[in-house]
Amino acid sequence: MLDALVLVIGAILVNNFVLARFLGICPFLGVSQKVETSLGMSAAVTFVMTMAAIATWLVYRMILVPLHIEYLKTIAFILVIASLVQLVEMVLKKTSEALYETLGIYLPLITTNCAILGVALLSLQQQDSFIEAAIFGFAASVGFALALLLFAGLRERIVLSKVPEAFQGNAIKLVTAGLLSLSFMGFAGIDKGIARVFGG
Amino acid sequence: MIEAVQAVAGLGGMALAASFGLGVAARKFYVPVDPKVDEIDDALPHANCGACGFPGCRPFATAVAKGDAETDGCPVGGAGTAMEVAKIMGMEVVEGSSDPLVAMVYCAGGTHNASDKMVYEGPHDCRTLALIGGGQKDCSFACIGLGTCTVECPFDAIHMNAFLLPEVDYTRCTGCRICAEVCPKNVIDMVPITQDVHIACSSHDKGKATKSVCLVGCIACNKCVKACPVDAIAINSDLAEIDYTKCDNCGECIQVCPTDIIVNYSHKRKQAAELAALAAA
Repeated sequence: MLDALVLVIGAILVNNFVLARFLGICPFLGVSQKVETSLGMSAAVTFVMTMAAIATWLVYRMILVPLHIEYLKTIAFILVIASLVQLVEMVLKKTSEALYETLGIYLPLITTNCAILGVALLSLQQQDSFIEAAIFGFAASVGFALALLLFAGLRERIVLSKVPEAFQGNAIKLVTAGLLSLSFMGFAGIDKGIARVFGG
Repeated sequence: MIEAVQAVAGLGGMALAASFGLGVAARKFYVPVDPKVDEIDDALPHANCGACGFPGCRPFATAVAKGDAETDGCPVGGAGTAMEVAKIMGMEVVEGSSDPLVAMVYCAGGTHNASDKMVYEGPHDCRTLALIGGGQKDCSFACIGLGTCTVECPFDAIHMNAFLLPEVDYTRCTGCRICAEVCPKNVIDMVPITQDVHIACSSHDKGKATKSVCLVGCIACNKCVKACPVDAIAINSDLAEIDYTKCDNCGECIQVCPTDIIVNYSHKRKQAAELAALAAA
């Protein structure tokens, strides 16, 4: 239980995928113009990331390890994630038209989101159990959603403020992202602290 | 050797299984879609600007296929797209008589012509500033000049010039009306692209009042009305307005206007036509 809590806090705040590990920067900058669209993206990522963490764990343990082809994990994971996204899209279209419309273009876009592959590879590195991998995938996507929503909110404010000419456009975007990342650095060590305090 | 076989077989097997699974899923989860939706979608310009009133091109195509929207509902595509869409829907193709529209800014009160009544420092948005005493200019009808139209334009077709007035780029403007809708002072309207001569003022103030706040505003002196050989100009509550159905771009009014508020945009139209011809060639 405690391990799970540490894992969740670690993935959301301490090692936030976007702001501390710098994964998934492309959707972070691309779909953060409005809180509304970033909410759609976050929902799609949460969905796919959790599924991908589970699927890649299974593929690694069930196929790659028995065949002794662990070194092919990157390409195998890309294959799994791509087909998973396709499958999810089809199922969603059939079962929930409304959700499919809401996620819209973001769903296929996720295939190329490096944060998804990152979850699979990192989870492997941490030698997570099946449940841990699923929790890690979900927590990482919540962290991604948090970063995306915070940034979208900031950008909605920036649009309304007077930005010096030299900083307009991408410059202020990246400066803001940097400051946000810096503030998340303040969480460093919290997960270890929790483990120490409660773990005795 | 055995390693290579394992690698190829393992990965190839996974790929095969995945593609087989997807193939089965595609059948199992097949959702019948009206083929007309795809055809209409292909015929649309795909700007996804929302000028039709739907959230994008695809929803518009769905609505047309269902009969919930008119075949000529896409203002960006114009007559060409409307005809194609009508053909797909199996409707009688009516030869479109309407010219493409472009945005026209009915204000020439830039920083060089119109005076300000206050200095504004706040959110950089015309709609916000318009709430504060109707804008910073002395003229209550004037363009505010913070460029909300340039931000909202989905086609990058409108830009602020050196005098903080919006300039329409005829090569890019599609007449989608979004700039006109976001403008809090309603100084933008759509005009047929074939019309070159415009009275670039929106002020309904009396002549003297207009004169005191803007160097170029229309003072409703009636000179253009008299000069017009085709009776296309009329004064409507202290503002001269051109009836575009009558105007033949002769430019007589430009000669007599004492404030030089009547503009001729034939150069813009010709430039756009030349570029279009170049692009087509």
